[in-house]
Amino acid sequence: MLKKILENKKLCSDIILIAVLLIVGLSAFIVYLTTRDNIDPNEAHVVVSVDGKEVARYPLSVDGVYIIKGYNGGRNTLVISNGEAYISDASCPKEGSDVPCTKQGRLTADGMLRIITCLPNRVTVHIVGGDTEGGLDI
Amino acid sequence: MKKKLSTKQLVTISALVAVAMILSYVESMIPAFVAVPGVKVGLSNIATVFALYALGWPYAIGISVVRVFLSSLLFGNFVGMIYSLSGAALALVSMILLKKLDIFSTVGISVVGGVCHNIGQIIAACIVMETAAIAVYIIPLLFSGTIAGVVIGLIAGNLVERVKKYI
Repeated sequence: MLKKILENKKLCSDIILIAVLLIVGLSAFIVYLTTRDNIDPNEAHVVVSVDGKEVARYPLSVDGVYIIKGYNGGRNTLVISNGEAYISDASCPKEGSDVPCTKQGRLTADGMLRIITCLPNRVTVHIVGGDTEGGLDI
Repeated sequence: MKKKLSTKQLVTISALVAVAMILSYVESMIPAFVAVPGVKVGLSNIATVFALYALGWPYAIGISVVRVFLSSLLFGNFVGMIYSLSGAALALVSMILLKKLDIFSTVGISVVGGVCHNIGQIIAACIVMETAAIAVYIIPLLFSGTIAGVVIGLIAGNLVERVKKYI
């Protein structure tokens, strides 16, 4: 079996390529997890940006429903409740786009991803710690 | 291409564009199953990889570009087109160059295509949204692009073997 694989040069290079990509992805993931700041849920803030510019900042500890005015008249409804932030509704056509912002889950202080993106409305919602300034924490 | 397309070539191209568009449509009906934008199987890439192997790179470019335009027009929105186009462009260029090297099978080529498609989309998104914060998506997309690439590469490889003799 192994000999058969080794004889097939293209199969070998395919496997090496896939292994390299997975290793790069895994290392990037480990670097991401180990280098990012820990966020204290009590001091965390939800930062809303449109076109890369911060337009609003809300504490994650205070519940509320906010309307985000995005690019070209687009609207997103941001909900913060029980230390979670998510988009409950959006004006963009949800069909056709791969993963709409409403399906991108809920942001928490200790969540894996700290950002929700709405491409059509050019809106990003991300979580930052209390003392972070611009706080684009990638 | 200096010489005129023959009727047979024209029909082959049209059929492949149609197949690619159907696959785009089928894909747009698959509900989102991961919370990361950009994660998809890339079914229509089957047609592109097939064209690259069975017909040659000019056909692959033509089919891919026409497919992106038409399916954005019919099933998606024009906002999404800029991301699809930049992803498709980067994927095509890298697949064509790597195929010339002749070291990978359809699987390797399509893995490169899948990952480059995601990279191209993220670059376009970073430029349009004027933020580098979304570059973090590249980490999950690297995995999903690789896996999707393997699936598409296996399907396309099988197709090339079976269908090429009829073209």
